[in-house]
Amino acid sequence: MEKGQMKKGVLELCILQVVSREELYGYEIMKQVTGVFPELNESTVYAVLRRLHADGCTECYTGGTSGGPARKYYRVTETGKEHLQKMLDEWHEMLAALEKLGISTAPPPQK
Amino acid sequence: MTRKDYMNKLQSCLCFLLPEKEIADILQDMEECFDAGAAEGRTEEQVCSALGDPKAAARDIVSNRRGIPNPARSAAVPYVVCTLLGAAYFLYMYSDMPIRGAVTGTVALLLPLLIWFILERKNFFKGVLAARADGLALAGATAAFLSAPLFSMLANGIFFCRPNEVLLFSYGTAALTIGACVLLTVSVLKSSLPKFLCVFPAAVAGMMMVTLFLSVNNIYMLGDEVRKLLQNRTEDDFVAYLTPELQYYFGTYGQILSLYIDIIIITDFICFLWGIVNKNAFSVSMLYLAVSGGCYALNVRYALSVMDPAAPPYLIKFTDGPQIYAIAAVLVLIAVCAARFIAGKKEKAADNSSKDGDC
Repeated sequence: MEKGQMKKGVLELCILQVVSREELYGYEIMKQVTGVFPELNESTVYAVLRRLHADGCTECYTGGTSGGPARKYYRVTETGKEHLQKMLDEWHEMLAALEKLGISTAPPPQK
Repeated sequence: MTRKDYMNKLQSCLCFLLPEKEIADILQDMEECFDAGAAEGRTEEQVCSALGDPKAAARDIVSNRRGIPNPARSAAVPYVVCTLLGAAYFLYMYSDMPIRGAVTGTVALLLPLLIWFILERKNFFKGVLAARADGLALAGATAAFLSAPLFSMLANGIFFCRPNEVLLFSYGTAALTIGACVLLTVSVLKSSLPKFLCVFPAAVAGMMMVTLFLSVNNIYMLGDEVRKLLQNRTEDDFVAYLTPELQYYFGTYGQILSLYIDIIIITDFICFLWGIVNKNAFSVSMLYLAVSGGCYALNVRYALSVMDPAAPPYLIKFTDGPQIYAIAAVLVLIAVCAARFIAGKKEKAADNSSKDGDC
């Protein structure tokens, strides 16, 4: 499997999680996600964010920053919340399945 | 890479793939990223590097968007339809050798599609932009194959073809070509391309309409005189049949055609130059239109020079029309394959280098 493919799969979950925690503008969302997955390009995050928005999981509004230019902010919608919950359930099911197979889902010990 | 380079590259990669409004929205978002990055003290180069390759960004955006038609598939449908029509035409042309005609027509028209289809299935080519360029150019090449007999007939066929051939086939295909040109005009208007580019397909559509009108008038309004002309297959016979009435008639419409030809030559030159300068996907389609438009213009110029000996000398015999168009279509296909091959190679090299970077 190409490096990063698995992470790309959970990108939707991560973006929705970030947006549901806080209303953010696009650049900030991209930065937060690539901050934990540095091998991903910001544009990859942006592409998924656009899709989530097209699917009605997020909505936009224009907000200003103190003294700065107006920016497009994203916030999660009810559809987005339901979608996020569904993905989280699937995620937990997958972790439980991995545990059953003896694959530890606990983070590796810090060196 | 600078901010301007990134934005230009992204725009050209998205061009024709998404509606203009959506592209503008994406570009606006990217501008916002650059502004936000600058506010944090990041350089343009750092923001570009964080965003990644604009070509890959365009691919990600398009592949994540729902409702994008597969360019390969959308190009294949008109191709197959045109192939069937083309095969029917060859069958008719070789009506004394129906099997040979049908086989020749089908093989000649299906072979490029088959080769292209196999290469596509083998993932020989890569690149969203290359794929869409191919889709457009393939449709163009299809039209070239189809319009080969059509243009020939409309330019000279009214004098040298069987009357029913003109009536049954050329009018149908003329309508198809006009439709294709109108569609191309509309798609240019709806895309993010400069609006002036629609002048060329619109001019081709207009020229076809005038030619069609001329042909219909020739046959139905001039009646017997033209019917006699239609029975004659040689140039000398045609000239011998030119009555003063016909000379006046052709002369009048010849002026209109001449005007259109000038428009075609000038606009296709501008569009083609634009395509080369901007290295845009659209240039491949424009190449087809430039070649076919130019050939057609030369054909009509010659037809007019027959009517008026004082007209400028011709370069290409108008009876060579179908062969010229067929060759042009094959050349376009080869050019497209080469362009896609190069694009694929470059993209593979870029992928490899980014993988090396990951390791």
